[in-house]
Amino acid sequence: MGIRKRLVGSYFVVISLTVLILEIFLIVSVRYYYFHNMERILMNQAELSASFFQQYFTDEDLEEQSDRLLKGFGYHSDAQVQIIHPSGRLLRDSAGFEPGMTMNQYADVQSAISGEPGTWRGKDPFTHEAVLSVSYPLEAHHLTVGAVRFVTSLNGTIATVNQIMILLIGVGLAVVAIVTTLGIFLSATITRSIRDLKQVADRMTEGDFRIHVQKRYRDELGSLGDTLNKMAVRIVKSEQLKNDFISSVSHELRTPLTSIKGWVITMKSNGSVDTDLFHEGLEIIESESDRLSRMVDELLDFSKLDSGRITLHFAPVNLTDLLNHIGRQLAPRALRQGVTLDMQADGGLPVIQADENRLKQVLINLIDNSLKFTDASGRITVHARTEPKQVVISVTDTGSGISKDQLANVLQKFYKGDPHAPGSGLGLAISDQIVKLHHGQLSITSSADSGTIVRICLPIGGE
Amino acid sequence: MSRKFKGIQLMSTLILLLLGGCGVPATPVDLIESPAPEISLQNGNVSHDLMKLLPHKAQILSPKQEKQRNDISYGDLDGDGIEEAVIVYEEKNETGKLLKAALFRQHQEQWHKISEVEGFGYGLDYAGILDINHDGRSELALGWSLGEAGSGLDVYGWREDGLRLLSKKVYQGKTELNLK
Repeated sequence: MGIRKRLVGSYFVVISLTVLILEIFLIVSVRYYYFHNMERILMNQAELSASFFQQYFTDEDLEEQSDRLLKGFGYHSDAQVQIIHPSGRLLRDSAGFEPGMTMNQYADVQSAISGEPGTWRGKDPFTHEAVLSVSYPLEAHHLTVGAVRFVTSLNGTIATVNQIMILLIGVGLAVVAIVTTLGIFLSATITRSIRDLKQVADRMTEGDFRIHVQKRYRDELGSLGDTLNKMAVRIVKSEQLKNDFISSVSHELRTPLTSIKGWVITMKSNGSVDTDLFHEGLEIIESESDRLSRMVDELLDFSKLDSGRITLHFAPVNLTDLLNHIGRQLAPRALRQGVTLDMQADGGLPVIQADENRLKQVLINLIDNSLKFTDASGRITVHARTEPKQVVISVTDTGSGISKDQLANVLQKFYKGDPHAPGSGLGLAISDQIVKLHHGQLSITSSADSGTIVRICLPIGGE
Repeated sequence: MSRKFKGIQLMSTLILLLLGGCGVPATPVDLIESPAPEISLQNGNVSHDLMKLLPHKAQILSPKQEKQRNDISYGDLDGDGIEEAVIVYEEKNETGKLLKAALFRQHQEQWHKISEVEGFGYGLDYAGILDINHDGRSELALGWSLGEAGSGLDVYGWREDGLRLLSKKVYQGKTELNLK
């Protein structure tokens, strides 16, 4: 699993870096703390000794009282104490070295003899042991009469520092190990979700849309799973719609064809005798052909709209004229069905920029729908009015209305309230697309029994 | 992740503050001190008043030679008939510890610190107010110790408005400290 490796890897890098920085910092601090304090303690002791000497012991010769001084200087201290003559000669040593050795090779002794306190860290030339030494000048009457030197082995300190260092490194490694192990488990919470999604997506690629993603957490991956599920549902639904559409369109196309064919057969056998029948047949064939071509036009329109190949020809449109024209065109059909068709246009409607033919198509489609679902003695009102920045055309009918769950789907392509009803199920979808291309909005409010109101809002700007 | 980073940041800031902001932290040796001296204060109000005048965290030293181990020595230094008091104490600073002796005078029922001198060595060997040079006036004698190397005796006298160092000498043990 690539993601898992990457996740654990990044956990590992982050924690390793963190631990490394902390370790370096802590180890350096511990070392500094130990060595600095060793030096400070020795320096304090040396300073205290030297100042006491300067106060009280200046009258006697250093060499003569060195034995006694050594005891006092080394009081309470486990360090090796040495008293050194200004010439660099060792006068007394608490460790029992022979007096007379020359100490000039040590930097701290040189510094103390010249009057300044000095420290030195290095290896003892004889035992090769790491040592720290501090020398302090002994002054009498503003003259340096010697030096006191404190020497300590650093073996114990180095061992202690190393011990702490090993402990720190051990703890650091343990932390890295724990966090990495934890990272492996934690990353599983992410990778498991992704694996699930991938499996489901693979199944969907193979065409199985009934599968659903099991949501593990309410996070981004969870919502991705939801999206995938929704997508699958929609694909299944549109598949269903497509199948319904094909069967309904085939049916729709066959009905006029059957009728045409029936009449052609009738006319073939009887047409030459009965002229009335012949004419009636031709008329029916003509109207059925119109129906067929209208349907094919609709299908073409739709495929154009769907692929965005349709272009609108914007021109100034006078809505009042348009409504009157449509009213006159549809009045005979309304009269035949016994429905009152009322076209109302408010005074002072602005001239808008629109594609007149497409707008007419939308309105005819809407009124046609209303006519289909409105019983005799019903009423259809088309009303155009001005609102701030837009013109609203509403088509209100007293028909059977649309139930709530159907309402959500009526604008979908291929959707039909009744799968066996005539028509392609594309009318409203096409109308919606056209209104959208006009930068307008088509909305439907309806309740079963009380009729339907379709509102088209078109912007006045005429973009 | 962000929480982890925040933790690290906080930690390193704390460590930096601890080590960087305040210098090297105190060593265990520096941190050893006697608890607040409430118990020793119960015997008298005078010492309580005097100790309040000492610097914060000052540690009072008792002379090793005194049998009663008196923390405070009394005596009339300036000859006005009223006894002064001397307290020797140890004060810690950045580089080590300082030995100091503070002289207090009573004025209208109130103690005031009027002078202070510095000492040397590991600790206090002797402290007392008495007439050492037989001039009829008391002097302040302070014996500082450097372990087996010996001790140093400082004698201070009251002159005009302060302590003046009169003499310094080395002595060994109690036998050499012949003050009378």
